[in-house]
Amino acid sequence: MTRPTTTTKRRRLARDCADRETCAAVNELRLERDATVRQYVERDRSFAALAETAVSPVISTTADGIITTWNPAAERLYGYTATEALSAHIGIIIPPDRHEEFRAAVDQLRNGGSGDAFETVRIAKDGRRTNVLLILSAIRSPNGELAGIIKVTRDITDRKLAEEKFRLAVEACPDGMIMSDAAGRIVMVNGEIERLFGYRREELIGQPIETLMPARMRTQHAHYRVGFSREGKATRHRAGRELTGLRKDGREFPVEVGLNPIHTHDGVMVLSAVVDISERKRLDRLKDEFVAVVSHELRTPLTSIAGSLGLLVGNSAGSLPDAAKRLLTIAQSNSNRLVRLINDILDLQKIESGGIVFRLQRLDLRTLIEQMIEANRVFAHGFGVRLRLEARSANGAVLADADRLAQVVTNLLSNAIKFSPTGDEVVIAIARRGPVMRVTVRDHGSGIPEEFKPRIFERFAQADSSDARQKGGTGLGLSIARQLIQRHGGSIGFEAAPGGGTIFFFELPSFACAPAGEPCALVDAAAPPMLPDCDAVAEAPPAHRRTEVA
Amino acid sequence: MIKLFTLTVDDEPDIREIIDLSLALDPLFAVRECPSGRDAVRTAIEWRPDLILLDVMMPIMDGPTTLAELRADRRTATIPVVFMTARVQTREQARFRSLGAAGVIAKPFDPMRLPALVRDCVAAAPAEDFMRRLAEASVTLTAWRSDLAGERSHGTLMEIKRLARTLADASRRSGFAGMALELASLQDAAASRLAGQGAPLHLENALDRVVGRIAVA
Repeated sequence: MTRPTTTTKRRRLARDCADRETCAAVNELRLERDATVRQYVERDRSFAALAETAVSPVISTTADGIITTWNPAAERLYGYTATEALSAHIGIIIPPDRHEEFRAAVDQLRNGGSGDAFETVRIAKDGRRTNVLLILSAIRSPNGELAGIIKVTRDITDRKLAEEKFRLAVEACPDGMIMSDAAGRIVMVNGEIERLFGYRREELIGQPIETLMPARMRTQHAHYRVGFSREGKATRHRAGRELTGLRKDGREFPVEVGLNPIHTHDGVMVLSAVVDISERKRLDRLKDEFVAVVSHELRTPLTSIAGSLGLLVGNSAGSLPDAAKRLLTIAQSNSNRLVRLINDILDLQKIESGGIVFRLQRLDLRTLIEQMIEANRVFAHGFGVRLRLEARSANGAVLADADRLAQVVTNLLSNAIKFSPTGDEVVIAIARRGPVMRVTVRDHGSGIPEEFKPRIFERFAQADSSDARQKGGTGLGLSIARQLIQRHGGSIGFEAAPGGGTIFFFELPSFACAPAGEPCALVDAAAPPMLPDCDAVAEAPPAHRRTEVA
Repeated sequence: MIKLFTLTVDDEPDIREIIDLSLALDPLFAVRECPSGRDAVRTAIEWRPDLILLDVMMPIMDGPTTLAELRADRRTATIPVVFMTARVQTREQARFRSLGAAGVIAKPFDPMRLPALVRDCVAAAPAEDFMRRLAEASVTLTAWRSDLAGERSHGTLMEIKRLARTLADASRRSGFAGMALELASLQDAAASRLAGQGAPLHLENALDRVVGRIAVA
């Protein structure tokens, strides 16, 4: 500043104040001083006015740390009034463990550096610690020396708290959590990830997320990741992808990964929830083995029972009295029913657990239906029921697993046959309805009781248990049909037939692009339907009919 | 009529008995039983069945393992195997076929239809022509068998060899794989004698087995 120079001049010239010229110089200097003072006062006022209105705490100090400005926002943040703070040392708001940090920042300014913003902690009058973002600016004398410091502060306690809450939530999450940036680099992991993969978190930060999977899967995953970043759709946890994780020690283990895009200032981040599913897989295997063993153990005695009864009823052990033969026939039909029941339960279990792989191929519906009518003709004959394919049926193809679609048709036919009056007929028809093919099975039975309609596709649902049992049903056929059609991306339902009876139907997307007979895709039954270019559409039923769609 | 030598392998004695009783409804079948895969391999080598009905789930050595052992031994490699299994899923059936099974029969089975199901699996259809040739061969072979050992002429040995080869081919075509194996052994024994090798007893045994098998028929 110029003051020391002005004072020296003033003293020197005062000694010769008699000299007019000197007096003139003194006046000149006085004017200069007054102008300088005015300038300073003006500057200080401007700074003080600015500080007064600032939303953020603004503090200025001398180079030695004596507080010279303390605005209302600083009063609010630190609890000291301006009267208390002005002339005090800035050390009143710096916690002891941050003294060194502050000294270093001031030294940097003293050495000509510009003040960088940094996050630190300050202490209020009541001892409360506050997280702040601090920007220091130097006030320099004309010769460049540090004359004072201006500190602009932002209270980031809330942000820090939110960050801490997020960190704690992620840390406390029982799943492994990984956050990665748009380039697929890991930016954050939680303790569960460290435990699952055997890495310390500092080893993972900055690494590509593909580090955590076997080399053979990395390229494919990178493609998938790019696609996800582009589309950015969250995946539900249970619908997450099953992948293979790679531990630091080289061991692989099955994981399920759910993804969530998080939009931040730094771009889209991906938060992945990773669950070790080794135990689930092991239990699935145990369950499959158990089902296989139970199946075998149940069927083995049944084979002997059904075999013995069959031989007896077939007179292979000699001719039997009529009454004995009738009783043996009852025993035989019930052992057969037990076999069907076991088959159906196993089927349902397999479908629901995703244990069935569908071999999708283009199937001509008419051919399939004709085959099924032939296959069920003997069964229908046993009930005195005729089967007929509606002559005006449409031609068309669907993408389906031949065995499983045959099972659906058989179940619907068997149901219609069992509930048809003797001497009546069951009519099967195929129709094209826009983008879907619809197969209907119409019976002339007594219809479905109103109260039973909501439960008809449930397991072991039979309107009249005794009646259904007499007809040899297991109560699982419709449930299996529904599961299979839904896995194919279709819909199944029923409606009252005009003139009495019931029409069961199923609809599948029409398929006209794959060559006949060639397998198109393999689909896990548990996975969502994969029908390329074919959307499952359940058309609205005609308004005059009440249609139940499962 | 020739018998289809059928080996039934199942760890459940009741099921073995029902299969026996069921196959007994059809005069084509001559049945032996085994309670395990290990016994089955041993019996197949010794008895040379035309067909093996093999249970899938058995303790110690299951059906697929037994099949693999049978296929690995040239003495049993060509004998058709039909699985009888409670695991009737289509995919499992496809897997069993891919292992080399001639067929898969689901348990529980209809005992009155079992013989027909088994016949279908191996296409065992003894044609009239085959039966006639077998009957003629039986007379010729029985006559040679009555000859004194070691005194057979070169011409006779040539005739045995030719007849055995022709009949072996016909047996294979008619679904009698075990009979074809017996005839192939006879052909080999005759060829060895013609080359001045092999023990005379070897030829006698091979001749005995073929004649014995036709005699059973």
